[in-house]
Amino acid sequence: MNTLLARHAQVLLDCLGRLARRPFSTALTVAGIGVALAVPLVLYVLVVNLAAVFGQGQPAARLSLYVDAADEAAMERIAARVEDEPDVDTVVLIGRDVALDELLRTGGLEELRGHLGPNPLPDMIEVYPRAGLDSTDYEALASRFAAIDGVGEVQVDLEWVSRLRALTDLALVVVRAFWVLLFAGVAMVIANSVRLSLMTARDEVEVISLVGGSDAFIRRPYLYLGLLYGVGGAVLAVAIALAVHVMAADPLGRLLEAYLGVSEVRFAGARVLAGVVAGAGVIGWLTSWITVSRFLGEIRPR
Amino acid sequence: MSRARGPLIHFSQVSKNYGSPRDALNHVTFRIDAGEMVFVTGHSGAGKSTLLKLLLVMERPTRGQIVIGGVNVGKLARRRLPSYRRGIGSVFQDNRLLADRTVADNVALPLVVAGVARREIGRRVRAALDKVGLLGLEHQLPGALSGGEQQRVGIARAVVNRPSILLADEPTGNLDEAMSREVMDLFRQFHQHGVTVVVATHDLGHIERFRPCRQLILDGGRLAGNRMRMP
Repeated sequence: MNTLLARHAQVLLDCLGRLARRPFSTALTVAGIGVALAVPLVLYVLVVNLAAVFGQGQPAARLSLYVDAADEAAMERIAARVEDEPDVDTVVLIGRDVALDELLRTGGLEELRGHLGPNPLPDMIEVYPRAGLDSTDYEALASRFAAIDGVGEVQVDLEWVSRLRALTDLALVVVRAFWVLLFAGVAMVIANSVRLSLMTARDEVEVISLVGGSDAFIRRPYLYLGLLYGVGGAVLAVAIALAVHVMAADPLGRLLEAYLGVSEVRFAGARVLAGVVAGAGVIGWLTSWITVSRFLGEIRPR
Repeated sequence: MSRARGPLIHFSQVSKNYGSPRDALNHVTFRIDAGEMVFVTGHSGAGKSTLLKLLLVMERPTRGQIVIGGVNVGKLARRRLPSYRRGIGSVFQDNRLLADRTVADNVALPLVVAGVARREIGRRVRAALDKVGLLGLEHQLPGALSGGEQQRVGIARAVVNRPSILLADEPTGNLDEAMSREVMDLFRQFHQHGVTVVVATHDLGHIERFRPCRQLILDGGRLAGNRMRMP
């Protein structure tokens, strides 16, 4: 057992040495795999942030009540009426000044403040109904709120939520398809590189075979080659995705906050990252196995 | 494969066809006893290389049967091939050394693939290089050696595993007269130590110096002569 381990360790070292001796072609292969895997990983991070928002039960679709020029007492009165509805969970009062501040800040329009005349925004009450309502419930609530004295317009922010949810669902499917396609691409890149190495080492493979080297002996270094290509490429992909994440975290956070009220931007979880690296490694190993076996089939005695 | 006396290699009605109308070997039958020194001669294209490739199971016969050490090698399963080949040492005209490995690593290859322990490998590699007179060149790359030295490295690699059969395909084809003589003398030494040696050559000059020996003469794929040359 120890000698077997030692032999595998030796092969792994030989393999690393072999890769180091051809840095350019090694870099090309690893970069190809890295870029291929970075695409779905970046998409995944983006989509997972949207999906996480829905996963938390947020945002509950909300209703925005625009209140005709009102004082604070009128706002309180309307809010009390709204809270009487059993389906209402939370009510948020947003005065027009607060709303303007928010708009200028999140929109990055701070310098416009001086140029604005009187605040053009209405006072507003945001209503978050309890979870589990369907769209007819929302419509019913909206019409009852519209009947309240002093309420101008009621806007149901439902459609964009369901659209976004549908988009997110679609994006998740697309990401899944990208994983499959690009892992297949990784397999092809590795198969190609391993085959190229085999071609350049054809003499060596034949001589090893003629002096009594078994198929397993011939295959072993190439299995490690495939494994290293896969793992190296996946680690590079994680690095690329992390770099994109760092660059995009701030604008994405602002986007999420503005639309969904969530400011936390996540990166892919450790399990997903480990899965990508391990998956690429396994694919490299298997691809090499198949590639070398085909090659050995070509040089077998007839 | 024992070194006991008796038929070690037995070809019966062996033909090999590579897909052309003419057979590369055509109904060839002969026996070689353990410990014999055998020359396979004939013009180029007579089938010498094919015969050696069949012995090493680089090719399989189209028809007929080849039994070596009691094993029907024409039907040898692929997974048994490595252990079969470990019992045979082979020397090639173009020596087939690996250019990017040192002399010692080249010679060690048959031991490495057989899983021999590292310390044992070092010892046996030095012994093999000593036998061919190249001790001290272990760390050279083959490219730094003369043609004759390269061929001797090839021989060291062939015998490092102490095979019972030594095959050589035109081992002196690329060498001048003096180097050829050295190489052939090495084969004689191994023969004298009980190894069965089969050498394919078109150079009949060497055969005169080896007696007793057997000469298999191939002509157009057929066995045209099977002579025992006595001293």
